[in-house]
Amino acid sequence: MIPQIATVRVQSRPDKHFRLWIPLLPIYLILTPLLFLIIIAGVVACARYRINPIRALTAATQMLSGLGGLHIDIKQGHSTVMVQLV
Amino acid sequence: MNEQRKQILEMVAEGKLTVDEAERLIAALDDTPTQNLASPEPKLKKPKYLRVLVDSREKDEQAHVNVRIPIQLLRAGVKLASLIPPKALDQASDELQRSGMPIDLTKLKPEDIDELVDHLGEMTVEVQSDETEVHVFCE
Repeated sequence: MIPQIATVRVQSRPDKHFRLWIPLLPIYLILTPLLFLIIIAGVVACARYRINPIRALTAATQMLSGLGGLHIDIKQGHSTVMVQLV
Repeated sequence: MNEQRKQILEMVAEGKLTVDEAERLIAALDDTPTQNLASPEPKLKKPKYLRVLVDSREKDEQAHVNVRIPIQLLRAGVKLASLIPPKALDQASDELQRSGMPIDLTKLKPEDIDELVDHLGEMTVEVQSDETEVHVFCE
């Protein structure tokens, strides 16, 4: 399943931090018109490099759905950046 | 009756073994622990995430990196990598060779890499130095 929510947490000082919960579905909807352009560009690229477009599309879809559960947490001193896809 | 006992009895019937020898062999079979008998291998628990933990303590500042990558993403990456045109793989292999890593990427099959990902659960990498600690494992 493709990620539905992205959580971003940024802390620059011990007393100052913010956390954002970004619903991704509206972003997908906004990007839908772009998707057609991306697909056309992808098909052209596949034809150019002799790659099966169906296999490429399947792999790209699996890549997108595999992003769910990704968690990146970086702390340095008092600064923290955390990104999580659910 | 298991296969080994049957074979012993057949050898007795054919006159290849005496009754005493057969008795000793069967007794030896009885003493064989049950764990030696053919049994299916325990199923490996499939890992879901690849974790990379890095702890660094340099002078006064501490840095900590914690990354959790879904194994499904790795698999999808492997599938994408299998779409790379052979010409590009040749170029990448040449560059690797030039950098001192004689790896021929054209000989890597997606099934092999898939099998490698399947067995990542058994892998743990720990690197420790005075100031840095790296831990890579699957969960």
